[in-house]
Amino acid sequence: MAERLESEHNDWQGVNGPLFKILRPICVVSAGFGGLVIFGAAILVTVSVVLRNLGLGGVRGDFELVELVCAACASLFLPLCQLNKGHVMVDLFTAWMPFRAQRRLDGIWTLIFAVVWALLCWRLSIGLEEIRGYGDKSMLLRAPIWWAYVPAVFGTALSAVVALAMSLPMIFTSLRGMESA
Amino acid sequence: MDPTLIATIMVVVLLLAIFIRMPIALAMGVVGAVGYSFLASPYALMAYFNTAWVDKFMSYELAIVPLFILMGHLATRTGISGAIFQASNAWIGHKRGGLAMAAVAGCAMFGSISGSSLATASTMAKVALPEMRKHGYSGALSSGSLAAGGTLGILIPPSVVLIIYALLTEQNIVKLFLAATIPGILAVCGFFIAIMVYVRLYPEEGPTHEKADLATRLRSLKDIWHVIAIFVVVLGGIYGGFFTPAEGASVGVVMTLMVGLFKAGLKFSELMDCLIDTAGSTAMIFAIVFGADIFNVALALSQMPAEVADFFRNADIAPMTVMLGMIVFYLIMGCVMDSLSMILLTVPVFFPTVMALDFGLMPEQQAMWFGIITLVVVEMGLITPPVGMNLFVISAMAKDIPTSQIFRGTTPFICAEFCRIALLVSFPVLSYWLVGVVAG
Amino acid sequence: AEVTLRLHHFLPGVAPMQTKFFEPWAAELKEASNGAIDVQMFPSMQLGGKPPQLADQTRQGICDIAWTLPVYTPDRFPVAETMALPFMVTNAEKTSVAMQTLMDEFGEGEYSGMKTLAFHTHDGGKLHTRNAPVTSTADLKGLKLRAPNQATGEMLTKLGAEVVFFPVTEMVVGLSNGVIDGCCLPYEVVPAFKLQELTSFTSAPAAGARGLYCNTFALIMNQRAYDGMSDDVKKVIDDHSGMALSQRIGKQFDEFEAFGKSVVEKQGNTIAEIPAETIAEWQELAMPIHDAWVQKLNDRGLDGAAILARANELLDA
Ligand code: NA
Ligand code: NA
Repeated sequence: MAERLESEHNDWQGVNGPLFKILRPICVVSAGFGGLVIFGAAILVTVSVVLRNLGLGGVRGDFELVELVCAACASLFLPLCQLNKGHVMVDLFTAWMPFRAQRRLDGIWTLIFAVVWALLCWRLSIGLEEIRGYGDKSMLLRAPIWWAYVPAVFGTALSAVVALAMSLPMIFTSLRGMESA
Repeated sequence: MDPTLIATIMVVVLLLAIFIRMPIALAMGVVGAVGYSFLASPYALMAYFNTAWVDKFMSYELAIVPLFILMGHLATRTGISGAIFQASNAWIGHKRGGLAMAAVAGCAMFGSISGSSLATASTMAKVALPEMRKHGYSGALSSGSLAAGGTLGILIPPSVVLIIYALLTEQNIVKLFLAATIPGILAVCGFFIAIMVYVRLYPEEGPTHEKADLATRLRSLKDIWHVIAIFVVVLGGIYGGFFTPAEGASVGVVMTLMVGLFKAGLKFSELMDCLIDTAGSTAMIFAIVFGADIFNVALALSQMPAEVADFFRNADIAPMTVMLGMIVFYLIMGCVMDSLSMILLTVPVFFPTVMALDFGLMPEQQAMWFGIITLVVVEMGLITPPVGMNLFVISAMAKDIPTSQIFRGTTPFICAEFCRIALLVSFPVLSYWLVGVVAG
Repeated sequence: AEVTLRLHHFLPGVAPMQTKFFEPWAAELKEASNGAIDVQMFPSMQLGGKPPQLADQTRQGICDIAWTLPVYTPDRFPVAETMALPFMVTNAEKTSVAMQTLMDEFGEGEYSGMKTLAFHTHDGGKLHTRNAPVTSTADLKGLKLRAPNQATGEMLTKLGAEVVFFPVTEMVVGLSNGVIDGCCLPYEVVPAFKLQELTSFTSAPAAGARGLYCNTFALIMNQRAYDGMSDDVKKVIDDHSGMALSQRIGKQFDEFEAFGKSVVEKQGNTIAEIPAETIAEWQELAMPIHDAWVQKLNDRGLDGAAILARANELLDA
């Protein structure tokens, strides 16, 4: 169900634009790193399950590790989704609009995305300081909880930059140069 | 301002925003945040944002989502789908319309190790569509059976939609998976019947072909043993007491990887592609989960869901009427909206309402029954025009089949689904009987 | 109403804590203030976040009142956590009163920025198991048990059990399919998780012996919300909080406990007694955990030995 077809309506030729030459690899590395982390967690959990069912006792704190990994992934995956226009929307009722108008509308939403991610990033950086100040740790692994905020601040910041860079040429025709090399 | 009024405005604005192309995650998040500021205070909203993102996703329960998605993507890359389809084909492909049935059966098998409909539809279409066209199947029948078959990805456990429902309503995921089994089998039967009726009416659209000999048939089974092994270990392990759902998903990832490495020679670059694909799908789901979270907190602040539930509890309306109203609402919304967004949007209001009604069931049974019905009606949205994600997948893969043909091809399956909904609504026992038997 | 207070907690709305305590208490506040105080209930973490955030949410004004567990944020509220050590709890009422006293005497600075309304505990945890009762150290050997908190987990590990820290949802799954053999929880939560159906044996310490563990709870209020009230309304809050409230909640938890026990009995499960000598033996083994706790309190600039001694004195009184 809920995945999106990435090729669908890809009206955006900017993949080769100068800015995106830098942004795309960063987003892909971020997502790939997140993927490797969750993949590693899957292997660790499997080992833990096998050990436990052999009566050797599971890996201590595997639950907590999975939780930390899930938080990290959510943040690291985000910029790529933003870059790929991966967010679901309903385009049925605006299909009658001229292409330019649709694009401009999408640009406005993307700009709002940029504002939202920037706001979240700012608040998460405050949250990071707060949680670090409390010295909150996970119960078993004693892993500092603020670690989970680092990818969150990074992921939202990068998503904000990506969304901003994408939205401007969509809204202002004069800025289309940002897209095409 | 009256909280209920604010909540009403929120719902209206949200729908308007969605209708003018605003991404659903963004619409729910922004409308929710503004509503939150009015109902509580902007200060509280800012404080909430300090930790909300990390809080939400530092979750063992939610980790099951990327894990099952990764397992599905790995399964897609390992060529499992080809073996599955060949096996189904060898056994039933020769009958009239048999290839379409084989495609549905293949989708069911693939769905038993994948939690997503789009993955199932696209993976199976890749192998089944060319084969059907080669044997002279019409565009309508071949695309329709694959679009409908794809929905088995979420109807048959594991299912990402059911996981989200379980999280929203604090139900047991294992029991919900069990509850979905009989309705899932009914779906397969319904699709088979739809195909049989269809080829009866239009015999030229699903021609017969040569029957495979017994040796071929048996050999085809040998090629899918690992699919059966993954299915048995993952779901059997969860039901049989060896591990929890998230652990099952992890085991599934590792087993699918093994199959990929040893059977299909999966390369490291392909593994990385899987991880990148997983990132895209997961981020999209999580963004909606986060947006819906703010929206739902704001709704809770207005106390509107509780008031709606109270209204229906006290109103003199037959519970079944309310239930049918919700189903109709879902079917209409499903024509234009994405399944996951719909669930995240409606369940926080509908679930307390349904639980406040007396259907003569135990609360847990009622929760499972409603979960299954929600799953089925929401899933129908994937194949109802004009916005049906599965239709788009098939359409993107079969450029030669006009959209009108695809719509025509899904019609018999939509009819089958209506019959199934009627069955599930009339006989709640179909949804909870197996749970009672297995889980005691 | 003059003031609307949002009460946030993590249990579902049908839990006895809400129906038997929060709702009557809110009604009393309303009546005593002539309708000036309106308490709105937000069960099941409806206002977002996870249970460990409840204290922060109260401090920041995301909610006005929260019911929270100090052990959810290890080391942040150490004095309030003390009663959650193994082998402290006697019964809920007495332990709650002792906890409130301890907080009055030593826990002054712990909940800064919040007004504390009550401190309490539940009754001691019991061992609910699938296959056999636990009445000796030997019975614990190799038993896969779900521990309710860190300290209890350490204690059970020292006694030879294989401890897991599943979240409760996973615990229910684990108990139903046999991933784990049992759990350590009070009777009070038995009905909520249908533990009576998931397990067949319950082992409880002999009468008079200390309980295996308990969790501590704090009912707290946003300081600004309190400061912003008129004096009349403040007085209503004051009259309905503090020692009397702590004792009342404790007593209520003893009633919940009795009800939970009756559910287990009705199911026909075996209830075994852990002899006082066994408890004494376990207590001895758990001493290092208490010593480590004293050290932790000392590190925080508190007099750990004095706090623990006072707690024991109050509990033995
Ligand atoms: Na599935
Ligand atoms: Na649709």
